Amino acid sequence: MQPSGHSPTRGPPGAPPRARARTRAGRAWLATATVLLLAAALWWRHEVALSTALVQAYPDAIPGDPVLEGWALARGDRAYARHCSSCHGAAGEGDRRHGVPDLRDGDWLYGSGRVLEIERVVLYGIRTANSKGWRLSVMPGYARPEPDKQYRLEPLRPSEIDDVTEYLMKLQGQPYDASIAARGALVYRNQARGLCWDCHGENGHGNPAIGAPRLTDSIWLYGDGSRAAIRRSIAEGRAGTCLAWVGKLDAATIRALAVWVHHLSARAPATTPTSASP
Amino acid sequence: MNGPRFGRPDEVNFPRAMALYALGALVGLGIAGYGLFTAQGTATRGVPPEDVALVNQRPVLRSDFITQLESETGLKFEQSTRADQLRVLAEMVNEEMLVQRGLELDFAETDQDTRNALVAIVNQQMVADVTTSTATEQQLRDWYDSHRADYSTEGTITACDLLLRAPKEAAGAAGAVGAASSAAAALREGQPLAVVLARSGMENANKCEDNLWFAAKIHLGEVLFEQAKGLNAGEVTAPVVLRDGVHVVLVQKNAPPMPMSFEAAHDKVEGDYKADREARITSATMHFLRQRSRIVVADEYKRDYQP
Repeated sequence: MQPSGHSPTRGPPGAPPRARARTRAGRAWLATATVLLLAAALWWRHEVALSTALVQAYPDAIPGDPVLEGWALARGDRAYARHCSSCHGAAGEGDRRHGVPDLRDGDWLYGSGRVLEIERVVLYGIRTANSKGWRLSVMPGYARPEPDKQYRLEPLRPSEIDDVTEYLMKLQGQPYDASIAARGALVYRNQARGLCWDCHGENGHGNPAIGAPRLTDSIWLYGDGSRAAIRRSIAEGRAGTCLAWVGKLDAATIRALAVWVHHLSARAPATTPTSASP
Repeated sequence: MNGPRFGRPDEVNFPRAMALYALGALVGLGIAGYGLFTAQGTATRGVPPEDVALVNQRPVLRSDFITQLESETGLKFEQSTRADQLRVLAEMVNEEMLVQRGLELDFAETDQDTRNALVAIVNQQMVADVTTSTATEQQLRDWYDSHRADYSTEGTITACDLLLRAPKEAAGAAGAVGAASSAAAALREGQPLAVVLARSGMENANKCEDNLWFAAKIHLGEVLFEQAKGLNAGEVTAPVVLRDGVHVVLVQKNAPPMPMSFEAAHDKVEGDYKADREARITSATMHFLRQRSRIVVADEYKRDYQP
């Protein structure tokens, strides 16, 4: 029998302390839930606002905006760990066995390291099916019957490969044989055979517009810069690839990755060419 | 009024329950509506932040716009004028409209350049994931172990192709063979090449170039290469009569192909492994496409047609 018509568990006025405690707990729960919901909504709105600002911003201006850059770095860090680290390494150190570049060295195969340029690589990849990506050139394999599939090139003789290797040792500032390197320079600049200068430039300074690496610094994409490693690249050819992420990741994540990689490389000391004259 | 009150969560209150239901429904509808009208490809009100325009729901990506602007003007985006930006934007919108019109007109059916481009891009797309993936060392090792015979160094050979142009008459040809035999014997005895050339009247047809085996096979020709490839440095082939005269090949250096270790063959193994995976995925994709296509072949080819 409940004289007041209320269940004792509902805690009407004058109800036992246990019922009142339940009432207070219920109100607290509701208030907490409301606050949490509001906080989540505010956080979500904040994230959307930053995400929108990030993708609307001029990419190269983001590193100068601490708020946007900080947000992008946090998001980029997570995305890098999830999508990129399996090839580029946990800290961006790359893998010279597979021709995966070190992202920390401030040296750029494609472009000059602007956020916009990095973003293009993340978006459209390198040598993928996407024609907006970088895919203009490959390093021919000069010890193969058909060094390049697109362009008609003659294979080099073994001695010519050795000569060019020696010339590159000279460009590197490493010990070299002058007479062999001189022969190698002729092959390097030969219009009909080596044609190396066409991509790597007259003096081996490379061409970031087509991803031809600079040959005058100590940064190597493949191998350790030894004679054997250089010779192997000339003989076998190279054509590294990078996945295109357009359509797989959202625009904000792609831009965050570009900012993250830019930040990683910006901490590296600037690379300087060796002093050897070509 | 002793009924359950609105502000008491421990009491069942019908109006409050309905209000919460309504609130939940409104929030749900709001989220669904937001997603519906802002998701990429479905936005109908406004342009998604990553895009600079929408043309019949097809986005023009802001990043593409900036890149095209910088490419056309040679200036960084921030240095470009608003007029430049608007001009490039108009170009990109026009391009998108024309592409869409091209799809409507089905140029893929009638224009060979479009067909070629589509075939090329689809072929690349099929293998894109394989091309851009990195095989594990264990996968490469397994491939190497199962294809070990394929991995050897490319042989190198330095060989002098000495040629004595033979007269067409049979007697003269026989004489040329005799002279070439004498030259070969002199070389075997270790006489200097220049001396032998001077005495025999033979010419050094290939200037004693060094070559990889595959290239030597092309330069010497199959007949001479087969004779020369088994010789060691300093050895000489017997005279070989070919259409242009009598040949003798002096081998100065010869390094036949040698089996390669996994480490030495790593790059080749990786290339071959990827090429094999690309071939498999291409084959599987074509098989899938054939399965879902209705292909009817004319009677005269029906019996022999094999995809």
